[in-house]
Amino acid sequence: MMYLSAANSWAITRKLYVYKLHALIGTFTSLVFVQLLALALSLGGSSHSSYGLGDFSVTVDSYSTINIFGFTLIWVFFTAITVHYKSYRDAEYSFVTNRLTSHLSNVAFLLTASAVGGLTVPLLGTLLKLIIYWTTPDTELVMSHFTQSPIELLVGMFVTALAASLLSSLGYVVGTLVQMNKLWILILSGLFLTLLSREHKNGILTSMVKFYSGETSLAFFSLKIVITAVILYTFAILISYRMEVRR
Amino acid sequence: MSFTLFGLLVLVGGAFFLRMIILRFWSANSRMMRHLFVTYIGILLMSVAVSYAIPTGGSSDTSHQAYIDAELAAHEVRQSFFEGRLPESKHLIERERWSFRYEEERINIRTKDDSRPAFVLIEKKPLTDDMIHVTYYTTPYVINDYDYTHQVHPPEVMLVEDTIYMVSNNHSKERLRFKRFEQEYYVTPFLSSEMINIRGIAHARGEHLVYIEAPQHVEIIADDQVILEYAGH
Repeated sequence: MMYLSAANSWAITRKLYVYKLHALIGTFTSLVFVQLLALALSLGGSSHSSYGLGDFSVTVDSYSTINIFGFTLIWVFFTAITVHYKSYRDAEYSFVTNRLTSHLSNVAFLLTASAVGGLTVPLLGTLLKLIIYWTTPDTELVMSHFTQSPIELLVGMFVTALAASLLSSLGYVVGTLVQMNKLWILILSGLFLTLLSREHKNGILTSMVKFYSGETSLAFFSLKIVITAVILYTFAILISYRMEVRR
Repeated sequence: MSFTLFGLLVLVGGAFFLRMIILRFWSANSRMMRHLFVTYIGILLMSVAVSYAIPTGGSSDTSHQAYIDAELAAHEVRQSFFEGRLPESKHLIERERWSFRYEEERINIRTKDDSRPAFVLIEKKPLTDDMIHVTYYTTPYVINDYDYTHQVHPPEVMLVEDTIYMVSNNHSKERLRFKRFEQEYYVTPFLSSEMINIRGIAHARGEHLVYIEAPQHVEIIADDQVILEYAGH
């Protein structure tokens, strides 16, 4: 009996996941829009350096995918929050579902969104390089780092997907809390802005970022992200059990 | 992490804008949306294939060897100059050569570039034709692995009465602009040591050397911006 119940839960979760992939295709279209916006902002260069002495000066414009990376993380964060929206949740009750299957399908959908985000950032970085290459005279272009090796591309995709999954789990917790009580919007915004305003070299936010970004082992980096994401998703699922069946 | 009111406004405004975009597309569920996304992925994948087809002229070598060579050459030029000899570096480039007939006993050398001193190496030769030969050398100008020496104009050297002037060849300030690509910072820590390169800009500004062959009897007087050395001394 337990076995059958568990099997049914997985089957429902899978159906819900597939349903969400089709129903929420607009999410991925919004990713396209967000990334193209980031691409447009990246065309101005991510940093500029100047060297000058007397009659001679050299300015170097540097291009990177930092904007695309950042925008994609913000996109997945907001996607994780909006997955809780009521109009959408109502639709999934056409399935025979419970809160756990709903959560699991959401998590699977968000991990898919993170993977898609991770896949597209390095690829879009290549498109950015091509645009710069085609719009710049040869005499002004420094070609080092133009071509990324397949390993660099794969590592870039993997790391971006992991970072996106971390942000999605954080967004999912925020969305769950806000779903419980709208007051959490004020509390979390206030907490974030307070931390941001008091941030310094060894501040909480900086330390949190360094905890992940300071890691040089891909295995440990992955482990840190996976453990954090599991904790955050579990936390979101547990707190939502305190809510009414349909809220 | 710096915090300003403007930064906060941009952050909050950006967040609301992104939320609006996501919600705008959220309810959209059409075949067109699906095609748009698939086309987007297709274009991205094609861009990678195209990027591998573009010849990088060897400049995609990210070891920055050209920069290292240029810095070593500049060091060698300074060292050789103060030892009174012309450097033998293969990276020393002869850019320009001038010859003047001069029959006086004394000659002045002046530079109109006050940004850095001019290294002038004098070789006294028992020339019989009263000619002074001036050769302008430079080591490479390099950004990462891109050599832009050919874009930097050598100075104009002219003889006016009893003075050799070295004047910048640009009537206005020489401004060069380059574009480069950064190695992604979120990838760099995880690559093996062989693949990690200098992320910053490696810029080598070429060292200049003016080599003058003058008749034995001509006395040479330099201004403050000129550092004179005599070959073989």
